[in-house]
This record gives sequence, C-alpha cells and structure tokens, in this order.
Amino acid sequence: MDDKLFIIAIGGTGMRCLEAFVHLCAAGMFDNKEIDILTLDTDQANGNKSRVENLISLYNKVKTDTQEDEGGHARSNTFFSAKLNLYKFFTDYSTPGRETYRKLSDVNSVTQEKRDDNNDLSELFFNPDSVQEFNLSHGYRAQTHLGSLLMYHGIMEAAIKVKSGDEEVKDHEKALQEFLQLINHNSSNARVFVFGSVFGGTGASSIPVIPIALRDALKVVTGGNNDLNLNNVKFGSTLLTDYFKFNMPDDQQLSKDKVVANADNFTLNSQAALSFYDSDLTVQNSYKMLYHIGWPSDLKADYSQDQSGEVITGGGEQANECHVVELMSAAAAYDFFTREDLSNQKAKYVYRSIEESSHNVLRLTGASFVGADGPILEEKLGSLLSLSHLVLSRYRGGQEGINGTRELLDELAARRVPNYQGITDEQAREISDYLKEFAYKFLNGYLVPGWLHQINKSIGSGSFIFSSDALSKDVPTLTKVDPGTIYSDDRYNWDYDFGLGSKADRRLSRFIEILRSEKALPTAPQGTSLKEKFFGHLYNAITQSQKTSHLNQG
Amino acid sequence: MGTSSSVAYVWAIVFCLVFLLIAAIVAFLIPNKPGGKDIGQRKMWFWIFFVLSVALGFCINFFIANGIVIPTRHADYMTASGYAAGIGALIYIVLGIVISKGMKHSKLGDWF
Repeated sequence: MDDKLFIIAIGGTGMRCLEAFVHLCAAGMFDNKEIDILTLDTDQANGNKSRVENLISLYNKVKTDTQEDEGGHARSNTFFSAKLNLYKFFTDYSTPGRETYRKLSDVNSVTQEKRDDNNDLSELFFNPDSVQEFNLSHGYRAQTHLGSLLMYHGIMEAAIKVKSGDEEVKDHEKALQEFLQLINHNSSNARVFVFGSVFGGTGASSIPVIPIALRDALKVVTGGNNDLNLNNVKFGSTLLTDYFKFNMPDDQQLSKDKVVANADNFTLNSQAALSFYDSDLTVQNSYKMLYHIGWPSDLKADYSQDQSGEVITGGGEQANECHVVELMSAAAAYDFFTREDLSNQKAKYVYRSIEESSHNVLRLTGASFVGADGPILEEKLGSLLSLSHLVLSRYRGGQEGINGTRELLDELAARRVPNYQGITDEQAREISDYLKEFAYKFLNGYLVPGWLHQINKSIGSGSFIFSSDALSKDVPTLTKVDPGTIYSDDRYNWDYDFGLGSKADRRLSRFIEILRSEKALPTAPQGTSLKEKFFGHLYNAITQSQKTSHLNQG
Repeated sequence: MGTSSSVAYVWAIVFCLVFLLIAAIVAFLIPNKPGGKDIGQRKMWFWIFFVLSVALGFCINFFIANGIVIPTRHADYMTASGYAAGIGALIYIVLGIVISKGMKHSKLGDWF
C-alpha cells in the first residue's frame, strides 16, 4: 500500500517552498496522490502564507467539477493530478495578553515565589529587554531559542484546548486537530515532509521540535491512547540555508520593534543550525531524511531591492518573490515521497551539486532537481508552460479582461475536438487565473511575473531548462511566444511535418491534428469529469507533440 | 484535323484536378488562427476554386469549340463541354470530400 503523504509548511520560506510544491502538483509530478497540507505560522496575516493558501484554494477550484465533488480526485498522467487538502494553523499572538513572551509566560495562578522563579529562568535564556518584549505576531525574528519553545507551546496549548472542550475551539485549532487525527489514522504508513528554513525565525525554530510536538499533541488529543511511532510516521525536511538578504534595520526601528531579523547574521545562523542538526540526537532520531540545500552567497537574492523604509518583519507586506531553492526544496519532497527505503533508524543527510558553466553561472536541468527523474520534471513542467502560453499568449488570456481558457474552448469546438463547451465561463476563468499564477500576466501593459518567471529571475545569468523567449521579460516577445518551442533542449520541442507554411504554423497544425485524433483522447485514469477529460486531452496532445517524450507514447 | 468530344472531358478533368491541388496548397498556406477563423477561409477558398475550375474549364472548351468549323461537330463539342463541366464539378466535390474525410485531422479536413 502506498504511504499516506503529509506536508507541513512553516514560516515565510516554508510557504514559498509549498508554493513550488503546489505548482509541481499542477504540472502532474505527484500522480495518484492525495496530500494533506498543514500551513503553520505565528503570523496569520503573513503575505506568503495567504498567497500560498489562496493558490491551494485556486488549485482546488480548478480540480472541482461540482459542489459535491470539492477538490476533485487524485488522477494520473494529467495536469493537476494530485488531490490537495489544506489545513491552516497559526499560534495566536494577537489576542490581548499574548503579544509578547513576557505577557504570554505571565502565570497569575501561581505564588509570587514561583513567578519570580519563572522570571529568573526566563531571563537566563531570553534577554528581558528585547527577546521577551518584541511583538510575536510577526514571527520569531530569528530568535530560534525562543521560537522552539513557543512553537511547541502553541501546538500543545491548542491540543489541550481541543481536548478539554472548556473554551470555544477556534477554526485553526480544529484544523490542527483534524490534521493530527489524519496522521493518527495513517500512523502505520505516513510520510511527513516539513518545509522551512534553518536560518530565519519560525521555520528554523519549528523544524527541530515539530515531530516531538505532534507526537505529544496527539497523545493529548487521543487521551494518551496513541503514541506516534516515529519509525512508522516518517519525517523528512530540508536544511535550507540562507539564500536571500534584505536591508539592515536602522536604530529607530530597532528601538521600536526591539528585535528585527538581521540578514547579515543569516550565514552565521545557518552555520550554527547545521552544527546543531548534525549533533542533536532528537533531530537525528525523529527525522529519516534531511536534505541539505544551499545557494552561492554571491548570488543571494536581495528582497529589499526596489523597497525603501523599514525592514518588513512580517504581516501582509511580507510576500517575497519566489526563488529556485524553493523549487529544490519541493524536489526534495518529491524524492522523500517517492524514495522506496526509509528504514534507516537515524537521519540521512543528502545533497546534490549543480553544474556551473563558469564561476557562479549555474546550469540547471531537470536532473539538478530530481536526479534520474529529471526528464520527467522537464517535460511535465514544460507541458504546463506550453498550456500557459497557449492560454495566456495565443488566446491573450494574460491580458486583463480576456478569458483565455474560454477562447481556447471555443476554438476546440470550432475545430471539432470533442466537446468541452460544458465547462462554464467561471471554471474557465479559474483555470486561466491559475496559469497566470504559474507563468505570467499583463497589467497596464507591463509584465507581472508569475511563479516560474520569478524562479527563472532568481537564477541570474544561469540557465534553467527553458529558452530565453519562453520566459522573456519583454511583453511583445511573450505575446508572440510559440508554445511548441519553449525548451532550450530542442529534443523536447514540438515536432512538425514536412509541408507548406512556417515551422511554427506546422508545429501548431501537428498539435491540432494530434488533438483531433483518437490517440489524444483522455483515458479513465486521467479522469471522468468534463474538466478532467479536458486536462487529460490537452496533456496527451502536448506530450505527444514533443519530439522526444518520456511521458506519453500515444 | 477534327477535335474529338473527349478532349472536352480531358480539359474539364485537368482543370478540376489543378484547381483542387491549388485549393489544397492554399489550405495549407492559410495559417492556424486563434478562434478557428482559418477554418472558414479554407472552406471559402475551396468553393472559390470550385467555381473557377468549372468556369475556366468550360471557357477553354468554349474557345476550343469556336475553332471547330463543322457545325455538327461544333454542336457535339459544345454539348460535351456542358457534360464535361458537370462531371468536372462532380469530381472536384467528390474528390474534395474523399480527401477531406481521409485527412480529417489536417487542414484539408476543414473543407467538409
């Protein structure tokens, strides 16, 4: 029996890694999988958190055919093949009396002597003027010694509250309980992958304690009847070291906010964290796989570029651009979920190196992310990009007010491709909206880069699977891009027949011929609803149009 | 030397085949356009070349007939020209349908 898969995304970086994971699901990298996802943050309003939660909501709308069938089903060899279930939890630091560590740890029900002891103990570990006083609602601000304690506390507190039933249980606490129960029901064959960084605040604080916190919380929720056997519930995570920087906070902001994460310390934080992960027995015994992911320090992304003023500590404004190391993290989850043997007692530490064409000019192929499955990643990601260009460029769906998927559906009807006209305008718009998030859109004549464009930008002068035109920053180039020539490796571009007309038109003619033929018709494993058939049909036609395909031999 | 009525049929069939070939070339040269606007254009050109093949086939036979001085032969040739135009038209349409259905997934499939 296949293992049941779970994802936990923690903190801003964890959310962006999850974003990459969702796009891999949309490309069809997780066939026949139903994946339960928990987003976990201290910062309910975090921009990255709401962005990925909206993305998963959109993904599920795209997969939903009828209201009774919300989120659709797990399918294979098609776009949006995985079924995703989202659970949202956050540690509440916005309610009055919970804003800072000092307020949170102030216990009135004990004697003054015990309170003094608590204060003394706290002051031993946490600076009383800064660490105990900063507002927690924007995360742990790289104070991992405080964060680990508070994340464990937050999870346990929610579990105790749910179990006792004394107070009104909030939605996010119910979501945590449901997620815990799901792990419990699948405790004999669960795989849990944790996304987060080791150099920042919330993720770095949580990765070491998450398996233990979930184990202890489950004990509470089940009344002590169930213990999470960490040999059966297998945990994996990324050891994601620093890959971005931002402005130093000035003295004025420091005095106001008490503690602000300092990007200059990220490298030092990473070094200390790696040393900790290498030697800590709790981590070694609770994780099966730890994926070491880094980025050249000379190529670090600058997240304060084009921004002025104070360092953004969190909240809705913290919605940083996506980076290729987040795709590497998502690829680590792919490896963890597809790896056959996880019987090791202690954590295995793995890494993969990337080819350089010259100093700091990286050459990224599919194999750079998923090794031997590299061609599959390239083709699946490329197929989704081809579909995006069809909808956003050929049918102008990237422009405001134009529903590109509707235009595509109308053309399919005109060309007597099996009838998908039953797909409503709203459903078509949702598909277009997802493709805009994945690739790009135009706003007032300017390009708004989607996820894949942001990934490509983060690589700088290096190369990344696709041709420069396919991920161009130039609006006129993008509006004329040929969906059949997106790869830099011509073997994967669409084939064309001998004949009259331009090569681009002959490529498109061949694609239309395949689309009209019986061999591109969707099969039952690709889905049974109209939308699923539509995706299966396009997936078959696109992959069969490629000169070389490992996916679909037609 | 007299002109046999069979020449009228040959000319009509030659015109029908030549214009069918031109219609096919034009169909391939019309690029695929968003919204399937190209489909209507292929249909339109198929019928334009149909009319041209019948009309020009008949015209050439008409000129050939004008060169026949013997009245009975002239009349026979004109009669044959009429039949030939009809047969040419029929061949054009039947071949068009056969090709279009035989290559229904290609651009020629847009004719019918």
